[in-house]
Amino acid sequence: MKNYLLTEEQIIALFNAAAEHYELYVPVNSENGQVFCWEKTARLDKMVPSNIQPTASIKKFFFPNSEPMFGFKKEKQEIELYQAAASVPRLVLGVHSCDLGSIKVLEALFKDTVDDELFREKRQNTVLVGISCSAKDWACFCSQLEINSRFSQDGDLFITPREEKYILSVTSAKGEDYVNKYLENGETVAGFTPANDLGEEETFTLDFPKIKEVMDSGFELPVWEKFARKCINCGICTFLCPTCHCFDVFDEARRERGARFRCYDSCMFPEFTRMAGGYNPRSAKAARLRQRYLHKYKYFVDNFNLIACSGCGRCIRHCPVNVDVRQNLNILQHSGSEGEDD
Amino acid sequence: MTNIYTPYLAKIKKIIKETHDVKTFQLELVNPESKKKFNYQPGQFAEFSVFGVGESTFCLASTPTRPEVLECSVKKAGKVTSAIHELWEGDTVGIRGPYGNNFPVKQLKGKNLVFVGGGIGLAPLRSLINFVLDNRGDYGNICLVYGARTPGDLVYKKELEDWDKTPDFATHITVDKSAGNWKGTVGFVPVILGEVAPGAENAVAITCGPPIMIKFVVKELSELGFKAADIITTLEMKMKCGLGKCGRCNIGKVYVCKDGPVF
Repeated sequence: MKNYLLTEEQIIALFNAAAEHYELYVPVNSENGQVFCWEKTARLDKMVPSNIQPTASIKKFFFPNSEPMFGFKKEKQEIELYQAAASVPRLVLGVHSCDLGSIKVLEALFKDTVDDELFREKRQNTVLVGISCSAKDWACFCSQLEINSRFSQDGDLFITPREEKYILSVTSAKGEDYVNKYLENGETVAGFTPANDLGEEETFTLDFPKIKEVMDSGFELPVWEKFARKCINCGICTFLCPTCHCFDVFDEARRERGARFRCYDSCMFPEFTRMAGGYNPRSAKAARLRQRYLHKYKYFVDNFNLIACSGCGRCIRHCPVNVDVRQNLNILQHSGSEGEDD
Repeated sequence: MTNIYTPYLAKIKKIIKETHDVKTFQLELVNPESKKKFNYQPGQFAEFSVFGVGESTFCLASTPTRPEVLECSVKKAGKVTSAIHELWEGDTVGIRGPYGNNFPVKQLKGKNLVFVGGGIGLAPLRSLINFVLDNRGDYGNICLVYGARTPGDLVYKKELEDWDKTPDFATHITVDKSAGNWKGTVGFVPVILGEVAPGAENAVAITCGPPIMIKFVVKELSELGFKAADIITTLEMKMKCGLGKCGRCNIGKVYVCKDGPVF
């Protein structure tokens, strides 16, 4: 891994140098300070913030809330299909380790069996620039998933502050291409040791193999019903989660023209699995909540050997009824299949 | 940019009205290239699109041994299936697939085959039955127990008559409730299966129908001496992508669309 020691001006110049060829996205703090997002900017004029985790996760760049898959035009009994245009190259700055760590989950899923070009093309066309996190909050739990908030090699480039300057680590071939093309007079440094995780106030340690063991031990645990009591099935956890990827496919058409789209769907909604005949295998709220937990911490591990969670904490931070996945997982890891205290 | 969700275009060659709410659509892929790519086996399924309305999942009821047409039998139940029922011959639709696994046609060679179907669940079985009839020498005797709610709900009536006249092919048709001038058997499929009592020796049973029927059919089959390994079923869940990505059709870690539908 190559590391450069750069000044703030050099970092800014490095990302502005490509502005002609790339759309530039930076994390911003909205005026009321409540909603954080990645916003497109023409030019970077100051250092990328290291304390902003946008509310909507990184997945929207590769797997947007809604995207056309193809267009169609009808003429009498004939149909003509149009393919979606290729995406514009993008440079996304200020990505935290939790979001970077989540991408491999989506990559595994979208390339499994048959490669999903819609996802792959956008990922290939995006340079991800991570930044060492300087602000963990009460909901963060990436340390529990062995993600280092201060350093990650899951993106293409990574920025770590060092005294008045910055270390720019090249963490992928794409990142290297970018640096070779746009960095002028970069001074490399030898012997860079990435910083250790910031740590977080842990009230308990989550033992994910143990949690999976409990999940493997039985489908009908009394805790599901208990967890579900609080949940209102609003689905916000699934929309904001960087690894949730379930989608719906639907058509929008007016007169003879239209398009087929995919958009986020949620396992929290009864319609998700309700069949046309009326039968729904997950009609109960507890069954839907169980599906979400088992999918993340068991099925995904079974199928891909990855936990579909990066500890970003969005599901905790934004839950309207204070469901805390950490607390639920903690209850799970201490409950056997024999039953829960309750 | 091409992508895996773009269907092949297909023309509706013929529409056959099976019952008051089931129609069979004979389709031909428009592009000769896509015809070459669309290689399927009995048991697989496809996504059928009506552009502007959406997509729905159906098993391929035809057999690859008769490559002239693809057939899907569609029961009118929701938005997409209602739109499919409104289509005319000559209309262009979308077909995406084939998806999923298939009946183990090689392992079934030399076996006697017991087919147990309920309602529209005969569709995937029909694909295999016709496949077996087209490779008659490779398989043993066929026994079919098929039932529907009423005589009016029986599908593929013409074929059922033809099959009945075929040597080494015993057909047992039943209805839950008699109506009109029905002179045939009345009774639930698992009960009739028990009465017919096909031998389990060197036999494999293949069943498809409503979940509750499958449950009792499996029970009946095991009482007849069929081992679990000799009972094959096809399952159904709500599906969208057909490729194991959209996340809804899983039973545990298994995705019906890519790991099934044949289990």
